[in-house]
Amino acid sequence: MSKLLPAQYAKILFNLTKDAKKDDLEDVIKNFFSFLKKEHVLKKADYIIKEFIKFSKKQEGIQEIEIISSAKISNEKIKEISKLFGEKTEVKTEIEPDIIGGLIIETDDTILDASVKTQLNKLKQHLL
Amino acid sequence: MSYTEQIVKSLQKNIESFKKEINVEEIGHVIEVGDGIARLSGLEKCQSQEMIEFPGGVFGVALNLEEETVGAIILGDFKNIKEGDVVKRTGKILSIPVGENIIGRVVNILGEAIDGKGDIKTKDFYPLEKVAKGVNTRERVSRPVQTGIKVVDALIPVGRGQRELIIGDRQTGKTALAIDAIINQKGQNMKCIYVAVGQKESKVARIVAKLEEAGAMNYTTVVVAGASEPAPMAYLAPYAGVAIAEYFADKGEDVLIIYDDLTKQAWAYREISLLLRRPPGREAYPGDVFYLHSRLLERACNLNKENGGGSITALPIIETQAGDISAYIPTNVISITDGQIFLETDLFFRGIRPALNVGLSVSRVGGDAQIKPMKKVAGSIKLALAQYRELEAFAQFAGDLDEDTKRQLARGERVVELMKQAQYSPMKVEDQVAVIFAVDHGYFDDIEVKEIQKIEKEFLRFFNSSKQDILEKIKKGVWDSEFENQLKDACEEFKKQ
Repeated sequence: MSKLLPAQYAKILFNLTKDAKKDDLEDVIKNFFSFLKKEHVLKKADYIIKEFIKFSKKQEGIQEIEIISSAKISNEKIKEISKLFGEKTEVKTEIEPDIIGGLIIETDDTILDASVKTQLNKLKQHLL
Repeated sequence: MSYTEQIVKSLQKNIESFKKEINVEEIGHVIEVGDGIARLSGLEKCQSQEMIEFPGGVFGVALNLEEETVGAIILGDFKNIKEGDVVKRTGKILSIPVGENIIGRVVNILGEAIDGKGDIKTKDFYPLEKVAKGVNTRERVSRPVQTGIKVVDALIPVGRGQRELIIGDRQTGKTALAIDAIINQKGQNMKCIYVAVGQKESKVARIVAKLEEAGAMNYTTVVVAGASEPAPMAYLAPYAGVAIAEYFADKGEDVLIIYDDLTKQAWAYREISLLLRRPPGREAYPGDVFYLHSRLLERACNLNKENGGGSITALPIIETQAGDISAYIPTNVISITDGQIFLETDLFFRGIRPALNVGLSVSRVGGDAQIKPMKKVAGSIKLALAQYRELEAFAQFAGDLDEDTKRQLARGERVVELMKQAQYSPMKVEDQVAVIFAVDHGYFDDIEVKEIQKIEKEFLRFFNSSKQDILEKIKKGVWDSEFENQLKDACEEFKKQ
């Protein structure tokens, strides 16, 4: 059988720890890592932890978004945007002068592209 | 209004009509990349066979949709794709641009010109994968494809809409036969598509040059997935070819498509399947390798009047190893097609070219499509050849033979000799009927076997110069006892000279 993906291990870990009491937690995690060792995927532990964080955030309804803009945007604006994605939103920002103007918002599986650069590209295609 | 003003006006109009909107794109990430394939995360709403855009303008196609990941093949250079790259959905099913302009061009599987003659401007798109036409749109095969090769047109006739397999070892003239068939389509109201799968680029260049020289590129399109291109290209090339064919067939035209060859396509598909971790079966081919070929060849069709009356005739080529036609892929394709043309190394080296094994070759539906005169004359030489084959082996050991057997042997030898035909010299159907009639009625029996081909040429020159009316009648399909006598008289006349 082929090995599971990091995301699938993360799911297992999440389900194991979800109902565990505080005292058992250490044992559960120990067990999980000995399971990983048996499966020869310990070297992927980093990925699995990353996926675990992502997955547990998703389960709790926290959404991560990344806002890319050409210049620094004010905190109020960021708050305004993040509210549109729900109450529990974690925001990362990045400045990329390449996009000329406007915004690009990335969520887990979609890109909302409202940058001037893309608009110009579209206009170019429209005119040709 | 001046010219400049006009330009400015139209520009303004164009810019005004441009709508500003936010691009919403669904994305995923590359988990791993292998030879020509990639495993992707995300892309939750991705469809099967959907095109996916990788960074750098490279496209891919989603083949495996799994619980957590999507397995995709990459159409193009995959060396610059790395783990973590962002991929985008396009929402388009893999399709190829088609149009009248594609005729006479050499294209790759995405319909891009690779012959250096500039871009091809087209409007329509046809999907590579499409369910074949249904029963109610089809009609039985009834019109002939004239391949211009005597032995094929007489003994293993091919009809428009038929699927006739060309099978044989390497170096037995499979491609030569197919190219001759294309060359002979000049003036036959036929569009041709030659699909080169995993062929050497030098061979493709040679074929294109030959087709150009023969004037065949005026009605031919060449689709190429070269040997140096990754496996996904070879896998998809036949589907790209048939998509172009369907465009013309839908317009009511007749199309001849040649897949050269499907063995290499099956190899490419095996490679992709193993990389995508699909379970291997016999000879390590995946379980659906039969479906790979059946869904392709099922798209050959002869449409009825209500659906435009177009047709797609398919000539797939399969290369066997050491004459083994009972291997996996050959048996599969034999069972799908409406007959096969079997070429043999032995015959090839004995100088019988085309090296066609008459005993093992069949055409299951082409008989109905032969013109009447050809049907009449072909019947008896088929018998003569069968008797000859039986006696040939037997006669090697027997010293004394009775007159009857000797006569049959002599006739057989002459028929075999007459069926030889040089490459790139297709023959008109009326000429074929005339010479076959002559040999069948014993007019060549007193001629040395070595001389047969020379006499054949003289015979045809005689008919083409002084018996035009007879050839015209054959072409029109006239055949009755009166006409037969007329033909006999003409042969007598030739003998006297």
